[in-house]
Amino acid sequence: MTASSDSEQKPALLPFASSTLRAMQKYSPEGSLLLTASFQGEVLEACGSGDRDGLAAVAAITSRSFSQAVDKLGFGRMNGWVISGETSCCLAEVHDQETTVGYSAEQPVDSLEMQHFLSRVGEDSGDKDEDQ
Amino acid sequence: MTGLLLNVCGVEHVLGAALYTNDGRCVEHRLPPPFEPGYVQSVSQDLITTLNEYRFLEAGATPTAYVKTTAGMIVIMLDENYYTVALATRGINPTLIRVAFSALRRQLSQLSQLSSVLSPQEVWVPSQSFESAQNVAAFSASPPAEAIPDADVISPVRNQAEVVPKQAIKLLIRVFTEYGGPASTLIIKDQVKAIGFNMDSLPKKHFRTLIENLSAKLVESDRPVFLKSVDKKLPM
Repeated sequence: MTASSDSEQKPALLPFASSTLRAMQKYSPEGSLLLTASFQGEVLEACGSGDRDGLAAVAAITSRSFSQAVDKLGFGRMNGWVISGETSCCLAEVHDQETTVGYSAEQPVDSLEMQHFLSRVGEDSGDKDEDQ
Repeated sequence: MTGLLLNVCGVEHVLGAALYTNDGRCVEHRLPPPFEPGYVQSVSQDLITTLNEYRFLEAGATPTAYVKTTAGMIVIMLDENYYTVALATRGINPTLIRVAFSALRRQLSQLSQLSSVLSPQEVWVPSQSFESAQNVAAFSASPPAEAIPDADVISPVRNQAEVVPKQAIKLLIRVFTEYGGPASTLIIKDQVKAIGFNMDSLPKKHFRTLIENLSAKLVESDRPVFLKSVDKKLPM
């Protein structure tokens, strides 16, 4: 990937990241919500509070690890994932091998939020501005 | 077969599931061909490693991962002594499988209280506990996963008073990340392993060694600042 193609990717990702954050905030209005959009591990955009580089790293590493496992298992191609903990959660949409949009909240993800997210990832790639 | 996975596999759209001890032994599986429990276990190792790292960031809570793919969903529940992998087709309701996993987690917690080491041969489940694969709905009224006691409380193996608290590890990760960058969690994990422990069993007497080893990983100008920050935020 050349530097020029990197710069071509970034503007396309930013509007989608922003609209996705607004969509997520509807379901987590009280939480400290952080969004990072990362490309090859580099943070392109971050919103909210928290450790943006940390989340980008977690999202990138986790996505790579999960994607490899899905491929080995022969269970389709990964669209996204949720890690649901007892005091926090981490969610990510995986656009391709190198582009991940991650979210984290300092609160557990509730069932409605998780269901909405999981039903949405991979389903609306042709309608990215629906929340704008 | 022991019946532990009946409820998980009874959820609509679930293809199958497998339950493993954390050292990789299959306790029970209900996986359809071509999925073979040994292969699923080997493939799951990276996922479990990632979940374990997340778990330490969360001060020991037991996370569940939902991985959506074009074929369906893979759900992995990590517990103190076990992990479960479930495969589902598209259309799976994550809330229902979450409820079924909550029931399983409670069941495993009860088993852990009965036996500190659960081997495949020793697993025994009272049949009346899970009579039918169709009774998932009966668990809808069960408390959510968050209400289940932390499995650490019932662990009979570890003397928690001698182990570095998870909150301290979490704080160390935060402090070190300021100087070590986004790969800090992995660096800390490697350093803990290098002195012969894992991140939930590091004795307090080795904590200072860990901090000094981490300091050595930083550029020289950052070392005194990092050590001072640790001493200020993590007096042990």
